[in-house]
Amino acid sequence: MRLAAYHLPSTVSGFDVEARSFDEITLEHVVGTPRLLSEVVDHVEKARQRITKRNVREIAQILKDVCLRWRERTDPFRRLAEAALPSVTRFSPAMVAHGLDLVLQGYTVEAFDALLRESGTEEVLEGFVSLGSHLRRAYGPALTTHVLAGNIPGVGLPGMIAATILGSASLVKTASSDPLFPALWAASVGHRDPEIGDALVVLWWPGGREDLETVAFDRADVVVAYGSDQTIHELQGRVRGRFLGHGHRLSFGMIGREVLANAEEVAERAAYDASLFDQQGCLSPHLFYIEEGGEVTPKEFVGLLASAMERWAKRLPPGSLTREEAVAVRRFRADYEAQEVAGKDVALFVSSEKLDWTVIYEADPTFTASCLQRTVLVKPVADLSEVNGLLGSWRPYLQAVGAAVAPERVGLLATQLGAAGVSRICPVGKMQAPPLTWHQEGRSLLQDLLRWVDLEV
Amino acid sequence: MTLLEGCEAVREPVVERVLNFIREPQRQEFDRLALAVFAFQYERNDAYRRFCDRRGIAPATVSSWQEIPAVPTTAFKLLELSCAPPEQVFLTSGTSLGAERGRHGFPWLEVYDTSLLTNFSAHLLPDGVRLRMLILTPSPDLLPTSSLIHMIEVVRKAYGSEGSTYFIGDRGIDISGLLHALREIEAWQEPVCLLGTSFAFVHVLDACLADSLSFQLPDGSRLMDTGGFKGHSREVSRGELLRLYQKVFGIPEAFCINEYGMTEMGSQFYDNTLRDRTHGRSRPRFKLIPPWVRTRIVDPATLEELPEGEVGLLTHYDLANCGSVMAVETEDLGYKIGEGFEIVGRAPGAEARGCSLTLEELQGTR
Repeated sequence: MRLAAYHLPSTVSGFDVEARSFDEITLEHVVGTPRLLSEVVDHVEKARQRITKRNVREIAQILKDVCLRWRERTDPFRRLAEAALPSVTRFSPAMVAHGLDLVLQGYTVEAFDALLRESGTEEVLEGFVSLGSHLRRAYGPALTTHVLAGNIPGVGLPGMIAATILGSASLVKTASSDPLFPALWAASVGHRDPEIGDALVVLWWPGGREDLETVAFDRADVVVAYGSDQTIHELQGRVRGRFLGHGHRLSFGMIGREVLANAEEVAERAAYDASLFDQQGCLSPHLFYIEEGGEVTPKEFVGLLASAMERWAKRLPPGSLTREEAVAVRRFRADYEAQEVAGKDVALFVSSEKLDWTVIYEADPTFTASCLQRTVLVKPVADLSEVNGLLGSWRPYLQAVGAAVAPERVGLLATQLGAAGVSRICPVGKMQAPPLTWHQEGRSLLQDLLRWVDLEV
Repeated sequence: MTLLEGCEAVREPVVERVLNFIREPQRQEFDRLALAVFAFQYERNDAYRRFCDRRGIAPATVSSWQEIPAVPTTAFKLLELSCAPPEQVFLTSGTSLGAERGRHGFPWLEVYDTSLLTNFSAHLLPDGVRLRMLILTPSPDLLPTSSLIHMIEVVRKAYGSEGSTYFIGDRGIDISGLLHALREIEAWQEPVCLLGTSFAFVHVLDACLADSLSFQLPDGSRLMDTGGFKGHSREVSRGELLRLYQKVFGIPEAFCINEYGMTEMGSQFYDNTLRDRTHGRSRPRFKLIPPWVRTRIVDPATLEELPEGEVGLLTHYDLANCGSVMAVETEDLGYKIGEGFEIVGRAPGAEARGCSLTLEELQGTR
């Protein structure tokens, strides 16, 4: 199968494409030149001027419609994504299908309403609004450049949606590990509403092409970038305008003694969170802290978690590993196996098949990151309030915490975790489905894109 | 201690069999001897037995050497893996800050020394000569726990002619002393053997290139390098290194032998080129496997053996490890070629290990 992994305004013509192969899938990329990119930006900026005349709510309605269509298994864009993404992203076909549903199910009417309500965006985008002694108005960017990273479908979607709602044109530089989904998304938007589609550009080039990135960054009012801390730091130095960097993060879970009466069900949900997207996401839990004193001991919980991981490996099979990833898992397992043989309070549970999953009990509660690929650590604590003190130097890297506790404990835990730097606390089993309004890394995407103008009279 | 010095108390019969095998290999005997060594290690090595039991494998369930459970190299950091009180313990260089160092105890050093001498002479001295050895590693008194330096010292004593010496002291590489020695050798027309870590050679080559110095070392001179660079010198590809050895030292490619070894192994591997040349053969360069070792290259995801040319993880079954664990699963990547294999490198992200820090440590204290 051969697919265009790019999206250009319909008015652009006269460009070359080159092919890149992912197993049976061949993706076509536009051969980027600074001149072409400049021309393309001219085109989307023109298209954007037409969109700014349109109502924010109307645009949101259209995007919501597009999301709804994507949830239909028969939708042509959805079918292309399901056919090609397993080869491109290396997730299994079942995972791709499940992942698309999961990502898109959050984009409901209510979610878009909440997004608009959150900032009172509608009014301030349409005119000056009184605020105490003066008036204020907000403008969206003319052009937002998005630098995406990673292979999780939809990872850049909230940013693209927010920019479009604000009437901004978007230039999306896709990730090498998934150059396809954003292109399909943009094409589906253009199919539904050609005018909005003409304000979107999706291209891939190898990261670090300074000639292209200079154009992409210099012409943008805002650059939204995802990537490793090193990439973010490097990009930040080259952006003159507003820069919104999202570095790599990690998540973990906490399970209170009171919910261990339903330990099997909690383990099922924990295993789901850790298995989704083969644990590649910033919302994927690396480890679970289990409180002692419940109906099952933390060590017993590990056995339940292992069984649940096995079930999820059957339902949502893991994707194929690269050699390096497989070696990393082998190494991780080898270390804990040796510790177990050496008599340390450690227990290693591994999948019967290949490297499908790994669950490790370790009595030492020190916060530890996993090697991923469905490798989960379980550590005991006498009381969940101890966890805050264990996060140490990991604090700047924390994203979400999945918490399975009695409702009356949530408030205190959330207060502590929020102070520690976590940007999202949610139930175990829901870690990978953040709402559209989630303040990723503690910020509001929509607000971050706005530029305010104050009027004093 | 070398094999020429006194012999200790009674050795196990299986150890005698291994020694005899190394001295006079009988290919068809390998499997039988490997199973005997496994049974011996299962009995005498408590940590290894626990390891095997955990995996549900015992001598009764194993019918060929391929089924013997391989211990990952990381286990040498955490477990005491000797079958008897060690005569000598070698430590890995522990390159990462604060990382635990691997320990490998040898209860019968004569096995180690016999393996290394037999193997070294077969690949570096296939013509049976004795040579003056110029050594680019620290001397044994500076690093008594390094298996590489023990190996080189045993080789120096056994095969080195007069004037064989070390050129790295507690003040780093003695480059001027080495260059002086090379000039002398050039004049005397007496072939030499240069031995050392790859990054130490790069420092010497760079010093020579900077001053436009080169040598035409006498015919029959040869060179053994080992290990990676790990930030101790600039990275140089194998092809470029071979070109520079020829250009700066005048040593032809076939006489430049790369050694691959690790603290966790009782045997080493060498390039085939000099041995092939002596036997009138011409093949691409690869690492030969000594007759008392077997190497499997497996897919890290499935642990299934890979066909020739495909890159996977190396697992070695080394009879010279009879005093600890014979089967060692490494983090090294390589592929099968000819009768041996070629190393691609350590799997990226793996904790760096090996003898390459020795120079850096010493330079750090200057």
